[in-house]
Amino acid sequence: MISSWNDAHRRRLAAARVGVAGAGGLGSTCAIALARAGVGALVLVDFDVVELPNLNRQAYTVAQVGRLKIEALAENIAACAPGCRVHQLARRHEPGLAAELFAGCQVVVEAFDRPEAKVALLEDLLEHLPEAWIVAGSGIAGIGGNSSLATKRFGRLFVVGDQRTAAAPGVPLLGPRVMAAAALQANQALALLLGDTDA
Amino acid sequence: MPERPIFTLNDELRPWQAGLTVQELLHELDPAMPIAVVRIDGDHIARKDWSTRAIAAGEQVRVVYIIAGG
Repeated sequence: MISSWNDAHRRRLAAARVGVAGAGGLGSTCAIALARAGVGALVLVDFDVVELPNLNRQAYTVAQVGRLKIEALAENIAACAPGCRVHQLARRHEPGLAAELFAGCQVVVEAFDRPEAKVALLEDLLEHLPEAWIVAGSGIAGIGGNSSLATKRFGRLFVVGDQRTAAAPGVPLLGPRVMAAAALQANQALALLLGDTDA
Repeated sequence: MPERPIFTLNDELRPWQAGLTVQELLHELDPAMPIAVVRIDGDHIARKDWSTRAIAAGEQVRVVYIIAGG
């Protein structure tokens, strides 16, 4: 854990570029946390628009309903962390695209929703972006279970969540647990950028 | 008596069976076939190789379960 904070750390974060794949509950909260912490550049990848039900956990406002998520997120980041350069890619990830979408990123945060999309991205990143750290979310639905939101390391892949609790009828995706997981993803990304590779 | 060969699955010791593939192991763990990322001894095993990649005795298999929600 990094418990002392100095100018060298700040410079390192300012020079960093982090990819955020998905701008839903995990991605919107994680991106804002990274920008507030001083990460210099974010690459946001999402093709979706903000919908009213998203507002139970995603960092958007009623006035932003109907807008592209990455555009609304870039606006929200500019409002709280104007020093962060935000690159918006309104694209869908297809296998083989990861290296192009996230070129130059030291860390990529996986923040997709559907498990098939999550695993397709992770496989692509593991195969085609060999220099980047990956911080994924898996098992973040439900209420409570704070201590189950562990972070596990598998080589250069870090996974936040309980790897069990799926969003399903009766198992909601709600702000507190999703945002807690997103904050843990951001915290892990910062640690990696600053050279701490422990989970 | 020689010791029975084993492999590890997410840090748990399991008896090893000759020829057991990644796909067969995952099916054994969950017949619905979990959506997962698999690593063996630190190497990523791509999904396309699951049906042919046999687990050798002593290898460390890690299965990362990928769950809906984001």
